[in-house]
Amino acid sequence: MKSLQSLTLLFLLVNAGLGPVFGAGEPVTRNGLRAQTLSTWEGKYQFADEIVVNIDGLPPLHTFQFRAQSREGDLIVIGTILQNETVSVLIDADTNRKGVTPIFEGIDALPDSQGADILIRWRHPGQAGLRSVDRFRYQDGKLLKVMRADLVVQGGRRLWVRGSDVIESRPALRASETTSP
Amino acid sequence: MRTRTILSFIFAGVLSSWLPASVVNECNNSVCYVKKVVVRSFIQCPDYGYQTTFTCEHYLNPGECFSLIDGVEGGNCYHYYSIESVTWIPICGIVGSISGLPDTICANEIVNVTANATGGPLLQGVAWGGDALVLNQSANNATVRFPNGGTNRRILAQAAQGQATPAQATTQAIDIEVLEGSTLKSAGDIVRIDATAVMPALKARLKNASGMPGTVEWKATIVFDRPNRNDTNAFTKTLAATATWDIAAEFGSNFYGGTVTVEGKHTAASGATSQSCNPFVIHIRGLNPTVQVLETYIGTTPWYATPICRHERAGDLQFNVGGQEGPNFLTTDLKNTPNRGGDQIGWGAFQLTYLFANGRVPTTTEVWSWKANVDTGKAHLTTTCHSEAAAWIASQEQQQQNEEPTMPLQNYIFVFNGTPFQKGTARTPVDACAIQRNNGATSWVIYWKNKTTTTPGSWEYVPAQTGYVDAVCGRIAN
Repeated sequence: MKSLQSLTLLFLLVNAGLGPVFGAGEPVTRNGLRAQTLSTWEGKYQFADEIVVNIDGLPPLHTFQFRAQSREGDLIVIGTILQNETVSVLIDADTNRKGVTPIFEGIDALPDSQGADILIRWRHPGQAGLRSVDRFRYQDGKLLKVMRADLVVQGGRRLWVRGSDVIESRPALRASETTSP
Repeated sequence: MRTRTILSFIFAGVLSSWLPASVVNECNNSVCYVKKVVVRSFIQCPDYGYQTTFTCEHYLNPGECFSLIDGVEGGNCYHYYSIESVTWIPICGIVGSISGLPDTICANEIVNVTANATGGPLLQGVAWGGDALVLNQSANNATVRFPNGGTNRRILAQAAQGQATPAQATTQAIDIEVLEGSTLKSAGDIVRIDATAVMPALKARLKNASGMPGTVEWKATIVFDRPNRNDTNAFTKTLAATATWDIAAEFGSNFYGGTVTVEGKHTAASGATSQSCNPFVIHIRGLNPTVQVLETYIGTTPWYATPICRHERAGDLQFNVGGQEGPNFLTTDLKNTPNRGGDQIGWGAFQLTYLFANGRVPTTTEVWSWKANVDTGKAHLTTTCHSEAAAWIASQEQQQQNEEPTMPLQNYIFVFNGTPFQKGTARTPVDACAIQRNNGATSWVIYWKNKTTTTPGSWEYVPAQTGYVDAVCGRIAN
C-alpha cells in the first residue's frame, strides 16, 4: 500500500511538473534532450534553440531553449557536452515555477582564474516589464546558484532588489474567519 | 495760350513731314537693326533772354515711327527740334534661347539663367515674368527664384530696342501646401487628434498648381521616437500635379502622431524630375477625453478594468496633461503627447507595454488613440490575464484536490488592500491573479502550497507580490 501511495505521488508529481525533468548531473543524449517535451501549468514546451557559450579555460556551456507555441516564456536546460554527444545537465528546466514562465533574454560569462560567474537575464511577462538576473558560479564542472536580483516597480520607479527563489507566503483566511491576515 | 497751342500743331505737322521714310526700322534676314537717331534740341525763352541747344539719342523699335513736335514749353519758352543724324545699328540680333531653367524647380529655389543671343550682344538681357524675384542681374545672366511656386513661371530675355519677341522659358515652380480639412496650415503648426479619437484630416497639394502638367510623387513621413518608441511611418502616393492628396485616407483606421514631414517630387511632362521640394513640417498631437467619457467607454466588465486604468494612468490620461504643447516631444513640450509612465516603457491610459501571450509592444494606434488603448488594455485583461489566471488557479485547485480534498478554494478569502476575493463571489481569486498578471506575475499572489511529509497543503498568498493588486484595489472607489 505504501508502495502504491509512493507510486501515486510520483505520478502526480510528474504530471504536475513538480519533479526534475532531467536531473542535474544526469546524462542525457543531446538529441534525446532536444526531443523532449516539457510541461508546466501553462502548457507544453518544445525545443527551440541551442546557444553555446564558449568560456576561456572552461568547457563550453550549452543552453537548450524550450518554447511554447504562440506565447512568450522559455524553459532552459544548461549543460556541457560530454563524449558521444551526451549532455551533462548542470541546470534543469524549472517546470514547477509558481509564477508565469519568464522570457530568457541572454546569458553572459565573467571568467576569472578559478572559473566564471554566469549571469542569466530574464524578462517577466506583464506591463511592468519586470526583470531578473540569476548569478551562478561555474567551477569544477558545476553550476551553482549564487544569488538572484529582481527589477521591480516601487513607488512608480524601477528598482533592482535582492531576489529570492524561496516564496515567502502566508496562509489564506478561512471564509469563516473575520480577521485580516 | 490758345495761340501757342495752335502754333504747336503747326510745328508738329511741319516736323513730321520732315521725317524721311527710312527712319522706320526693319528686320532683315532675321537680324534686327535699330535706327539710332540723334536729335538736336533748341530751347529759346525770349522773356528771359535764355536759349540753349543739346543733343540726345533715340533708338527706334521695328516699325516705330519717330516724330518730333516743336512747341511751347512752360515759362513762355519755345522748343525746336532737328534731326542731326540717322544711322543703322545692328544692336541685338534675335535672342536665341534661355538656358539654366529646368522644367521643374522648387519654389524659392535659386536658379541661374543665361540668355544666349545671336547677331550681336544683348543690351537689356534677362527679364522676368510671373512673380519671379530677381536676385542679381547682368547683361545676359540672372539669378532668380519664384517665391510662391506655381504653373508656367516665366523667364524672358530680350534686347533693348529692336527685339520684337523675347525668348522665353517656362518652369513649374513646386511648393507644397498642407491643409487640415479645408484650412490651410502653416509650417510648424500643430494639428490634433480630437477628444473623440479621430485623426486630423490632413491633405497636401501643390501651390498655384491649376493647369500644371505632370505628376507629383507624394511622401509623408511621421516620426515619433521618444524612448522607448522608435516609430517612423512613411506613406506615398503619385497623383496628377493638380490633384490634392488625402493623406488621412492613407492612414486607414490607424493612428499616428509626432512630427510629419510632407514632400512632393514633381515630374514634368518632359520627364524631368525635381528634387523633393520644400519639405513641409507639421506636428500631430492628441486631445484627451474627459475622465467621465474615458471610464464610460471602459465600462464595468471586467470590474477591475477601470481601477487598473486609474492606477496605470497616474493622473494623466491617454496624453500628458501637464507641461506645454510644442514641437519638441522629446524634452520640453510634452503636453498632448502620449502618456509614458514613470517606468518609461508603458504608454497611454492603460500603460500598454508587452501585450498578450506573445508579448508584442503596443502599436502606434494604441499609443495615439485612447479608444484603441482602452480596447487593447481590456482585451489583454480578458484574454491573456484572465485566461492565464484561470489556468493557474485551476492547476492549483487540481493539486489541492489531489492533496487535501477537504480544503476547497471557495472556503478561503484573500484580502488585498481591504478588498476580499473569494471564489463564487463578485471578486474571485482568478480576478486577483488576473490583475497581478497585467503587471507581471513573477510569483502568483495566490497559490496552493503543496503538502510535505511534515506539513499539510494550504492556500497561501504571497505578500511580497501583492503590491500591484493592493494598488489597483485602492482605486476601486475612484
